[in-house]
Amino acid sequence: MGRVSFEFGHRIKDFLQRNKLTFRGAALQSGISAAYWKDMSDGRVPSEEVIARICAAFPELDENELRLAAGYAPKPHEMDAVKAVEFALRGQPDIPEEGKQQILEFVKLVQNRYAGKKD
Amino acid sequence: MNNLHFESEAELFAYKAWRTLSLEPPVNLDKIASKLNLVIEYREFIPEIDGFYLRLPNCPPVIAINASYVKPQERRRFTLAHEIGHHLLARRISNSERLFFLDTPRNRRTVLERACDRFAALLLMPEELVRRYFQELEANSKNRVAIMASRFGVSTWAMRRRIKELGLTIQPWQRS
Repeated sequence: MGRVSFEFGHRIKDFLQRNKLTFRGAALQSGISAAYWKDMSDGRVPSEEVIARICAAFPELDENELRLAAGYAPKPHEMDAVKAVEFALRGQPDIPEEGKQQILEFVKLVQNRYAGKKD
Repeated sequence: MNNLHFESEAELFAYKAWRTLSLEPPVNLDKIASKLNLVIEYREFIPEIDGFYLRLPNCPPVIAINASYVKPQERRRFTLAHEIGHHLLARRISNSERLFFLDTPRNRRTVLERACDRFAALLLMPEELVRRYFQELEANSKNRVAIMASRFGVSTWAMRRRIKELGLTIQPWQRS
């Protein structure tokens, strides 16, 4: 088995349980083998391409969440603005949590203020 | 985009702003922001945050400035000018792209951050006027920096730095 991520495995296992999906069922919908789903639920980190494929097969899965759990950088275009800023703030160890929350609240405010309005 | 490119663009933008907007010291930053369709928000944040620039799809670009009492007016002005620099230097990036630049007292080390600082310094304290005031106040060398800082609406620290940058000689820093 290649790289392992407990977080990634937990997310896959949780997703399958919530949706009452067996490895075989997930394999049928995604075109990825049942054995591979089993490995992923045990924490095996797949390639970026496989993550994209399973997210295409199951739209309720957040590709960026899975990418982060697997140790890949998120795709900024597909990330919600608040999450994108939250991600950017991870690289700011000098900013206390309180400050990060203030910024995220502000981003939400701006987003809500202009929601539905087009330039 | 290299260091030199950012630096020269920053200088060009500051020069253009003075040329086209008939500016006078202290520079009216709200006027510049309004011309650029920027939304300025003054809010209280923790002291570790000076301000930030945020651009989201379908929203006007927003500059947030920390209005906390621990940030003096001059400091806020410099931060605002710096954030306007971010807006101008990022203008080639598509409007559909999200942008977020956070400015803290500690993170002014990258090429882009230095270019934005340069833009802010040139916008707030243009060379021609700095040299003119410096000469005019020659007889009052003791208070020269403070008077100039007040005229430009900047801190005495920023004023000193700009004067030194232009190769002008001032008295060493003295605590009053």
